Amino acid sequence: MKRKSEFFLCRVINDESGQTLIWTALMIAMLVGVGGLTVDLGRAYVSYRELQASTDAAALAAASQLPITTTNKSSNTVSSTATKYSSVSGNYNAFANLNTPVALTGAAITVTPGCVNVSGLPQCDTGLLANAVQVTQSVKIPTYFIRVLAAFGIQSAKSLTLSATATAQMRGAQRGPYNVAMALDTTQSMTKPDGGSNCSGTKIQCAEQGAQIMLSQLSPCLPGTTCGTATAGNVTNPVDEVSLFTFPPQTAGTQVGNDEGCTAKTPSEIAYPDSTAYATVSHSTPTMPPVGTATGDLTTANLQTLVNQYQVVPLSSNYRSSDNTTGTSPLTVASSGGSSTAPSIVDAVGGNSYFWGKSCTGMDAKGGESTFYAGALFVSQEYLAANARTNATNVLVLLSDGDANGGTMSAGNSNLNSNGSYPSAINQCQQAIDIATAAKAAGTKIYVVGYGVASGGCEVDTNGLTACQTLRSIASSDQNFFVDGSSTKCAGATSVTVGGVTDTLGAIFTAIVGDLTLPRLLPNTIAFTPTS
Amino acid sequence: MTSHCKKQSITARVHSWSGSNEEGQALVEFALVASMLLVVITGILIFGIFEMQLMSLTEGVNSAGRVLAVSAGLTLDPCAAAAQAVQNAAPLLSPSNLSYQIVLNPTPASGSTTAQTYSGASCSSTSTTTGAPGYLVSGGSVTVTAYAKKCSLAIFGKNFLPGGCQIYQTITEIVQ
Repeated sequence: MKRKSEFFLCRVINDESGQTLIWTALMIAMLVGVGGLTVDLGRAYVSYRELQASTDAAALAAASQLPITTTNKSSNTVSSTATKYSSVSGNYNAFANLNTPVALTGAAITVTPGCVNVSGLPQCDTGLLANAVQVTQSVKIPTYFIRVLAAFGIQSAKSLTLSATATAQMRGAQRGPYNVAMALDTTQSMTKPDGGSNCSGTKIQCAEQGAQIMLSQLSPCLPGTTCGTATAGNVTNPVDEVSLFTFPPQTAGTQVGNDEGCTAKTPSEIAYPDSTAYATVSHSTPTMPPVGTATGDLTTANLQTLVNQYQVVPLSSNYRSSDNTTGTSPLTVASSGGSSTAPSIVDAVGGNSYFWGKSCTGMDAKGGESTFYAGALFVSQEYLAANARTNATNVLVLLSDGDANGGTMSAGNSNLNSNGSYPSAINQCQQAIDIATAAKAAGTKIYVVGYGVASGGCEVDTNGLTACQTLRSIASSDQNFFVDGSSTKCAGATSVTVGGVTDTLGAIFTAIVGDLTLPRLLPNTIAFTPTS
Repeated sequence: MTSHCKKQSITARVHSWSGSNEEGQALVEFALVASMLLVVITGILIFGIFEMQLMSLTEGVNSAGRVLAVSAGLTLDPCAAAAQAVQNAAPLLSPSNLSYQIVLNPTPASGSTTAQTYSGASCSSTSTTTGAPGYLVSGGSVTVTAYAKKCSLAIFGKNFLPGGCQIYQTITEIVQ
């Protein structure tokens, strides 16, 4: 038996007829397999990587056009922007691999807006229909080696269908560059104790603590760097600059040091300076007058006059010493701010008294004038347009009870319009809406914080506007409109809950600063609810 | 195992082939086939390396595009940021063989007329508003292209990418 098998083995080894043919057949089969793996699958991997890269780009581009709200539902550009940055033929990332004639069917895209629930970032509600977007692209590419398997009946080996999905959210990445102008109400009513659960002090103190939250979270200088020394309030390469305005105007020239209170605090309010001699904003076609010398322009000198009176601190970035300062001293100023001649914005909102025990207890609400915030909006916007960095988005934050009712803007003042166009004694709420409309058209993003808003209001408006309606119309969208818990429940206002508390100034300012971030990609496994 | 069968050495087979004996024929056939197989196997290897390089480059460019998309106003040197991102994401490519081009278009809607092109691994500025960083603005577009030279797609001297072997990959992203 043993000898027989050995004999057979010898015969197989030494019998060479047909041997090469078998070897070659085996090797060719093997090589087609290996070649298929390297060439076909390698190509497929490269194509897939390109598809995923362009899908990510499309999703992020789409996220930059979010949110979709009830207002822009029919006119939003989410889908068209996604397509523009996709691999679909004729668009920015139309890789040759992914389009005919190389591919069997070129890249096709599906854009699905929807909602994700990420804490601290804008949530979907009745007004906000989509805060995220999911983009899927697919493409069918041919195979070259493994298509021989089709000869054995595996027809699917002729092509590979690739599909890539990316999910992006409208906010949540790092902070972009912003020029922020905060306009705070400093009328007499702000000296009263807080009517809600915002803080334990007076209303102006609560408002200033809200501003501190902004300052503790914005980015003073480039990520990962220390800010260095500030010159005239600004560090070398600022990211977010913040300016502070008040209404009624508290400041006039050298008064600044007194108002923010690092030295003896003797703020003095002045009458609203607004006059048709400076510039006007038409009610029928509201546009911001440019700074210039032509008829109707706001001259540089007049702008400076208005700014001197409304503004407490110019655009500055010395509110923290580095981008990532955390812990118990979030408001360490970049330079030795806080002198009486050059107060930092941190001093003005009392930040250094809370954290460093300095004597700067923040601005007081001197009051003495009634509310007229159209002027503050006008000056803030003109100041931003004339002074802000062009590569940063302009942001206006208005904190008020919304009830514009006069003061020195009374009838009979010959410096005012009588037709309801800014500046005018009548329709003061409507004037603010007009200016906000013009400011938004100029690219400024407006956040409104209603603080102690009462129902009704706007007594000097002839068209029946309420404070709630006015504040809502001023905000860029309902998602940028908040009212605190002590206010009447305004229609359209977005409710925010941060850290378990709802609609306090702290939660509201955290939401605002959280909204000032860039879109980011999310894992595709996140719970995603498509918008119907 | 003790073998009782007759074995032939390779030299004996070749020797016998010099005559009219056909016993060595298989070896010659094998040699012919083997050389062909060697070409194919080498080809597979070279294509594999080539695709690996292309994939690394795609990955690197994708990463660089993503970095620049969120760097408006946050960087003083977009070229260096892009180059660093490519190198980080493509460790298999030698940095000395890589070159870069970034195109910053502040207003993509108006076509390429406003586009600024920068080549090289640095385009630093002292300010985020001047020089190259000044063109990296929100709503604009950024196109990152990376080139890798000395890639291998030559099989036994036959170059499948004539005109110098250089692969490149590109991506365009919106600037957030």
